[in-house]
Amino acid sequence: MKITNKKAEELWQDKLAGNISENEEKALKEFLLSNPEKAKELKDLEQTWDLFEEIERPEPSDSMNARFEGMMAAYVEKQKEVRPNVLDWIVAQMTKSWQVGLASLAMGLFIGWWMLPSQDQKQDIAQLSSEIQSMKEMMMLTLIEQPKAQERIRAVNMAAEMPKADEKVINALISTLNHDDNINVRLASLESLLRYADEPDVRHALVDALKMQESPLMLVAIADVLVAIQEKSSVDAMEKLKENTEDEFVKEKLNESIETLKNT
Amino acid sequence: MNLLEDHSLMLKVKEGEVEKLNLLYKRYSRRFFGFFYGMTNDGATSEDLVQNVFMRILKYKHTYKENGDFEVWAFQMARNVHHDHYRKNKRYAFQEDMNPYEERLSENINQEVEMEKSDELNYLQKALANLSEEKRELIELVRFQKVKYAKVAEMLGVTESAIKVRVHRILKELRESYIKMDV
Repeated sequence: MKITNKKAEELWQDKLAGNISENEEKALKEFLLSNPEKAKELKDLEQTWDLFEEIERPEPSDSMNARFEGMMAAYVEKQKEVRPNVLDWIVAQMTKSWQVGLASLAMGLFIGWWMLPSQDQKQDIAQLSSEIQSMKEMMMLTLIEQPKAQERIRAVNMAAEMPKADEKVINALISTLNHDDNINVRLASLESLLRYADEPDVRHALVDALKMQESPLMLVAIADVLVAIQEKSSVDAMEKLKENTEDEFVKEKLNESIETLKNT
Repeated sequence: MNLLEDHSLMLKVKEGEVEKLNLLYKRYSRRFFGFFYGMTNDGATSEDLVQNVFMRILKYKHTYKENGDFEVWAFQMARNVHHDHYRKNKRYAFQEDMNPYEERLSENINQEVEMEKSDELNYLQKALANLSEEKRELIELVRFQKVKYAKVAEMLGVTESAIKVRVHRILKELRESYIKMDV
């Protein structure tokens, strides 16, 4: 091993640190024997190095440990507090910066655009809603045949909720208006028919209903509906009914309705 | 890998098991205290700085690397804590107060050898205090805290050989300095 002054200094430090191999130590010893000046220098420095051992340092106080424990406890507690609700975090981020807010808005618009139904989807939706409509009609027509008045009223109300009733439904309502045994069901169907009063068939059916009904309550209700829809062609039917009925209240109501229809 | 090794413990702390820091504190707090005391010569300040190191360890735990070395990383943090403190306070006024030695001196009043040694020690400490911050830090790490040369070299970003050369020069400087005091 070739030893220079610099190498000797390094090996000597390894020796002080207890980190020198047997061969290195031997080589260093040999080098120092033939270099007494360097040997003296290193020996002197070793004495200084050893002297450090004598330097006394105070011990930390107990309060240092207590402070560390306090710091740890506070840290753990704080972690618990800040363990965030993800939603809170998102809202906080969004309100913190307008750039993030703007980016979220852009993303929302994109998702909205992306989810917007295409033409095909629109057709599918239209088909689906017409299928639902026919199912509702079928249900209504079934319900209206039920023995319980309550069920039949449900059927009649269901017809009123349909956006567009077909002939079958209207006929079922007219038939119910004229033939149902229960006056409440008949009144409910009159109310539902009012919704389709724009249909000429419905108007005719309402006028004809004056001839079919016997109950004064129904006759008064029908007369009110005819006035409401301004069905002037019903005046003749009302005149006839007035002559045939013996109920004074109905007669009076019919007079009023005839007057109203004639004067408006 | 030994689960109780510093490195394994610090990885656990990084993953969120912060209570594992207790064991690292037990192993390192006295060394950090010694390091800071050597640098500041002030016990209360040193305790504050030890506290700062552990606070930083918690704060920056996510930066600890999978292949890291806790001793290097933590002492690096201690050095940074000290640099910050030093910048704020500029230079320390090293106390001339050498009470422990004087006490020891009085105990051994009749022992010439001991007295001579105490004088020498006294001068050495003064010489140490007069070293630049950088030099004192190096002696503190390798001599007092017994951090291996290779690790100190890693901390300072130089070769191990360069560290040895520096230490050698500092020792010479110190020796010359305290011998002058003795004259």
